[in-house]
Amino acid sequence: MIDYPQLVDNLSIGTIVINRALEVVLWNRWMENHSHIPREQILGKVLTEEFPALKQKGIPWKVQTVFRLGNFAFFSQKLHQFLFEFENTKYFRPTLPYMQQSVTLVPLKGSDGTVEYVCISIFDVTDSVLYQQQLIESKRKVEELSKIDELTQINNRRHLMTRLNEELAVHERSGCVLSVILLDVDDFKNVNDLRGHICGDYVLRKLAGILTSQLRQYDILGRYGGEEFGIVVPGGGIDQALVVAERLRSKVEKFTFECDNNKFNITISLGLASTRGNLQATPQELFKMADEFLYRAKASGRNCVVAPDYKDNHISKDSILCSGSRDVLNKTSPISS
Amino acid sequence: MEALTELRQGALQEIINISFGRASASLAELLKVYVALNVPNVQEIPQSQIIESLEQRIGIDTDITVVQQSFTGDFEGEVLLAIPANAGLRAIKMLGQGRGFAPALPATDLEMEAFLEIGNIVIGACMGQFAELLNTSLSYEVPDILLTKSSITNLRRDESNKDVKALALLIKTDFQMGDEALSGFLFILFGQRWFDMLYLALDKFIEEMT
Repeated sequence: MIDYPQLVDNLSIGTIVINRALEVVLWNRWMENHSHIPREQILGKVLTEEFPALKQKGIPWKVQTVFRLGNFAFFSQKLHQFLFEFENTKYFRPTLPYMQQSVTLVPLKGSDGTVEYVCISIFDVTDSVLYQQQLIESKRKVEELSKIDELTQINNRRHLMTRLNEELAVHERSGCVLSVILLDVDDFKNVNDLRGHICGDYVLRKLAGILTSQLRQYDILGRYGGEEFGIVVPGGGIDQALVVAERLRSKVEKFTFECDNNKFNITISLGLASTRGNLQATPQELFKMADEFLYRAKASGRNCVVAPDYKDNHISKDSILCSGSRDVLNKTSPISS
Repeated sequence: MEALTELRQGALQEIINISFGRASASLAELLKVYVALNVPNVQEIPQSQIIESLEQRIGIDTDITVVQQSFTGDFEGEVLLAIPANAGLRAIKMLGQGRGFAPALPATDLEMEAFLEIGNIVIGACMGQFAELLNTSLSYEVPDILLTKSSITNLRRDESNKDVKALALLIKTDFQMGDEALSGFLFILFGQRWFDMLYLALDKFIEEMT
């Protein structure tokens, strides 16, 4: 004959049995160990009075439905984390402040089929919760890494294009114009050739920092290619992008880089494009257009911003040129191409 | 044991009707929840077409929340309860109206808890009556939320389930609790390896009835 009380006491599952008055009629050893309440002390007591927090968790409602309907009831760990506030007692393994619990309420029926007792089983699911959390965290990190350019720690090209795509969808729906800026370090080959690749890497990292500090929170910056950076200016037409671009150009021009005790300056050239007149533009089309104006900026002697000039929503043959010698806001003037 | 013959199909439909009738009666009596359970048909469908079948019946344009619960015993299977995604507040109100359902949870969790609770109660009541009619009893596993406010097309089938076929019951459910009304779908799946057991129980039922 199996000694059932002994069996229940040796289960590594918390087991409580309560009657209709919510009085405890069984409290197994697992419950004694984790609650530090010996069974002599709790048998016959009302469970929700000994543990008032159970009311907050909705225990009376669930117990009531089990008694009335004879169904099973559950406490999901995902929603409740735990039913009983049991502190974790492990020494070596990583853990959580409180034991995570999955709880099942089962009806115990008498010979006439009515529910006489409810058995509450408490499963310690802390380990699986931890694994799950670690998994989610690793997944988040991998996702994060797949979006970030390792050298500059800003968005990589793929993620920049993804974000641009998302922004384009939003702008197309709202009818707002969006602009992009493509910029390139002037004579970057010289930096690498004269000062070495380590210094080149430093310049790119530093530049990414300067650009980030000059942009608004909702502008999206990414490394487009080697020494090329792309910026998405949401909700902004060419005029607004021009202001941003000129600010960046001027900041970079004035910044003193320092590598191996050598101080030097660099400049950048910038090309702009916008969705004005073409709200359905693709990310590729926009950057291709910006690249064309970047090419013009290079051809115009570098260290300048070149943007398309619009007449009635069409790009005119002329383009707007801005450089450090001009005041962008007041004196942008078309030049013949 | 062969197939789901017409006779067995009829018996199953009958059992479902009786047991779900009893389930709604007990829900109405005990919780004052009025549930109309409409059982249009019972059919065998290949595993590979389960999702497709759900898509056809529930529609792919409506966002839904799906509660899943497994049952075990003489036969095993799963029940899905699909509820419109925007029914969260109605679900909370339904359970809250003087029925003491008020766990201290943040709003979104409370919504999920209400869905889980409605799923658990309805599934438990229906399957409990169903099992009783077949002279057996079932145990239930922890209900889970399979889909949160999303199209049924995002539901993924577990490829490791090797059953070729499943017996699928789709039940349209209309809840009425106080002023709150809520419509959903119950989808019961019996795995192929339990067909024999189920058919045996059905044959016994048919024998007793005739």
